[in-house]
Amino acid sequence: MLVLKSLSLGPMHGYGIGQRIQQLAEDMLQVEEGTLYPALYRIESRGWIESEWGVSENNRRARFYKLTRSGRKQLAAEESDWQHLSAAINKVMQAT
Amino acid sequence: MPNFKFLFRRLQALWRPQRVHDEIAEEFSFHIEHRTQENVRRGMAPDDARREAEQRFGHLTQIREQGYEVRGGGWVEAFLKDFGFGVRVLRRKPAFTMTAAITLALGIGVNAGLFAILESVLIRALPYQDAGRLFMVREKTGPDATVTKLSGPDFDDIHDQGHSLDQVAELLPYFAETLIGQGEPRNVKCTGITYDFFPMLGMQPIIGRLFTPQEYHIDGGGAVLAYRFWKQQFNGDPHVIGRVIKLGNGDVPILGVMPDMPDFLPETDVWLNNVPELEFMHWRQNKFLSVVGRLRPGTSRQVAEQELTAILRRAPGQANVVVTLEPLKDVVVGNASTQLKIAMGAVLVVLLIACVNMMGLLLARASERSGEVAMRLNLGASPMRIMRQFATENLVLVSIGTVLGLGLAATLVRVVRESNFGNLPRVSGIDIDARVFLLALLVTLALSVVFAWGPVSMYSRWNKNRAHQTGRTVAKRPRAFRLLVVSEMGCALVLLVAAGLLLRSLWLAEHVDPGFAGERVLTTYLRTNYYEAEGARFYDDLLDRIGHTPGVENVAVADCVPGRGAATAQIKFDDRANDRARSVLADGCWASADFFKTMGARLERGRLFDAHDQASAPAVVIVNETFAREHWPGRDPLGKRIAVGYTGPGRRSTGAERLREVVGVVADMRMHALDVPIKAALYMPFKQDETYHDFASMNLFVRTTGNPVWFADTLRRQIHAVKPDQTLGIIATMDDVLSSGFSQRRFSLGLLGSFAALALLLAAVGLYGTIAFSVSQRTREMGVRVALGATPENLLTMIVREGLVLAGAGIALGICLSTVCTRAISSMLFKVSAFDPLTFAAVALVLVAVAATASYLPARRAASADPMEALRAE
Repeated sequence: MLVLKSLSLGPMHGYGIGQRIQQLAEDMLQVEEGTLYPALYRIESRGWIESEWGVSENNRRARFYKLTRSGRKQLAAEESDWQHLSAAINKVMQAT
Repeated sequence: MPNFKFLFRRLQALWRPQRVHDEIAEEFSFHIEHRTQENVRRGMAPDDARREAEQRFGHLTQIREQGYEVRGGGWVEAFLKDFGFGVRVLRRKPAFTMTAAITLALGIGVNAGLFAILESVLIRALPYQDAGRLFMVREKTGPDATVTKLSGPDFDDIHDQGHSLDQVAELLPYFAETLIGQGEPRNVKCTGITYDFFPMLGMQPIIGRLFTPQEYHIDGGGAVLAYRFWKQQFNGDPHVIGRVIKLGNGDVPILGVMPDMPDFLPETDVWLNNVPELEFMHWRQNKFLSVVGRLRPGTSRQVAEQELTAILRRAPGQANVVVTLEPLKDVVVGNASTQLKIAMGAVLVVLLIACVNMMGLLLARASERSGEVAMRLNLGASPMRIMRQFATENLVLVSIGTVLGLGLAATLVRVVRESNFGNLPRVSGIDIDARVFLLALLVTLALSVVFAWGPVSMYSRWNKNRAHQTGRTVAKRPRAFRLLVVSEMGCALVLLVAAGLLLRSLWLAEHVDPGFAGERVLTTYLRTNYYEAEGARFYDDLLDRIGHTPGVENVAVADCVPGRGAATAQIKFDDRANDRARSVLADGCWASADFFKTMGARLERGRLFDAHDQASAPAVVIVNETFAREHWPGRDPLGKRIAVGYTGPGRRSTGAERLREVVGVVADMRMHALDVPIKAALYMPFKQDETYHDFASMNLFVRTTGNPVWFADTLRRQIHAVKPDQTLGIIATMDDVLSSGFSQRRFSLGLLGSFAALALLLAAVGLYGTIAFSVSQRTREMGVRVALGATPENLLTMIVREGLVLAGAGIALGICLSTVCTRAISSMLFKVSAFDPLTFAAVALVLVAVAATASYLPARRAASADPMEALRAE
């Protein structure tokens, strides 16, 4: 979900996605950066994102990922799921 | 959610796995570089910056592997790798590969070929509209439920009153007419039909048209040509429509040409109309018409049979008739069905043996490779992964076998289709179609897995460590091999016994005394179109002319052909009450005076026919011994009087029944094929048929003094000298006639015999392989034995005995199986029991001899080996 969310702002390469997730999460989530890539490939195999070679801001060849239409749908679905879930959890937590 | 673009890329990865690796590596290095730059920007030393970036990235190789798993070729790639490995392994062992591939090719080849035949002949639907609902209508009458065809009135009743058949048509299959004026005069095979026969099948002529209902009522109203005949006789001329041809005594216009019909009545040259107005179409007891009907949708076969039975029982004298419907396809296939099913069973046994052999070969190889496998298992390969690799390697092997096998199958199919030595129906349609292909593919895949399972299950029982330590199989005498070889021998024995029984049946059938001496007798079929008394002159001239030709001993005509068939006669006696419902039947034959002399039949009592038995003379008849024994047991048949009604093809009827005096008794002649039991038979002077219909077609018999084959041309010239446009059938010797009655037997024997030989060969190879393997595993033991004083003869005996013990167990198993299996062919046996001890013993002997040879070869090699060499080999 985080990957999809970060790509909803526009196409980006792997490094950038990692950065964006860190920014979005305000450095609360820290992972081994490399593990991002198998995750990216898996999401790509589901068809939610696409990739192609492009040129990065510092003029180097880099692989750019962008959200597909079904990816956008998936993001919306996951967002609403997440909101339902977190709302439910919130309710439970507030009840006590 | 299928993502085709991604799948496509994965497929591409199969071609260039390196490219995917490169892409992943580039992406990662881009990441790390970026991070390094970032770190440098934050003020780190370049080296530290790089190290920190790599650390943050994680375990590079592992992540790369994970990434490749998603993006690379996946299991397909693993499969291809195993496949390539398999090919290399097999290429390194050409002897093994060849043996295995040929074994499999034989097994798969005969199976695919026979299945293709079975599928085309038995399973495939007839190519007619809604063919599953087409049935042949038949009647059963009398206490022994004799199956007969239908008569004209029967057909009319069913046609007019029946509701369970949508459409119904009558057929008069295969009668001969002469075709004159189209090149050489020749006989053509005609089939009479009602005008709605082809519409019922849903067939249209390719050119021209079918009979109109009006033309249908005119004798000679028109002819519809069969495709093959049109191509042969008229060179496929499209302007043939409207041309008038001389068929028999009539001029018939050609109406149309039907498309090729290889399934039903394939030998028909010309389709003619059955004319319902003709006299013989109105005789209730003249059951000579084949009737085909289409079952109304929603009506069951039983309901239809009941309805039609009820209708026909209303007719006088038919209170006991039962109507049966037989699917048209079953009629077309006939008794080829049993034959093919038995052959299919036989080839399945061959496949089984081939598989068992393969399993043996693979087990042998597996134990050679045990070191490799043990190593891999210890290094952590999962048994599943090893199984998968073995399955893939086997797939390579099995694929080679399948491809070769399909080639073999194609050859087999072509041979059967082109020679048709078994007189199979629907033979021209036999081919290897998608269904056969698919089945072969499935069998291939299944076999690969099964073959992998054997060795792997063997490995899984091992103590890994021990196998690894010694680095080779611990001289284990694999019991599995022995069981395999025993079962192989058993299966081969079953097939050999079956083939042996068929061989003995054929031999016995061929050596039945026919009751006549046919070595020097030529015969041919004469279709004369004489339906009146004038025919007598033609036959007098013909018999006189041929009788005076040098080289001829005797000459005669008759409407039957001993050894091939005779018409059925209905008999009434004047010395007893004749039960209408239980008519007495016998083989009947109109013959000229010298018929018995020409055939070499023996007269038992009374006299033969002579020149005085003319149309005007008192009516006489000669019966065979069986007839005399059955109907006048213990009494003198001479002087007794019977009336003979002919129930042969429709044109014959004696009209008024007149009594004939029995003037002679001849020894039994085989009137049908030699393996058909003798029936009561009677013979009448051919000029005493008061309808003269027997003149229309006769068979000529000539006893020659020399080799009959040299006389054929003379015979043809002499006949044409009497009547230039006389058509002739095939000129054959009586020996040919007798032998052609066994074509089905020969076909069955040929099939089963070759499959049995194949099975024996494969079993011998299996036994050889097992003994050779066991010997190679025991080199050290042999060495020790020799060192301890065993002579080469001792070793030889020991090893051969081992093979014979296996063969003995196989024979015991096979005899048990045979007692069950040979019952399947009991209907094809002649004068031989399904448990014929002689056949069983002979086959067992053959198997012992083969087993001894198969184990002698490796034994001799072992025995002649140098003991020191053997010991050092370890």
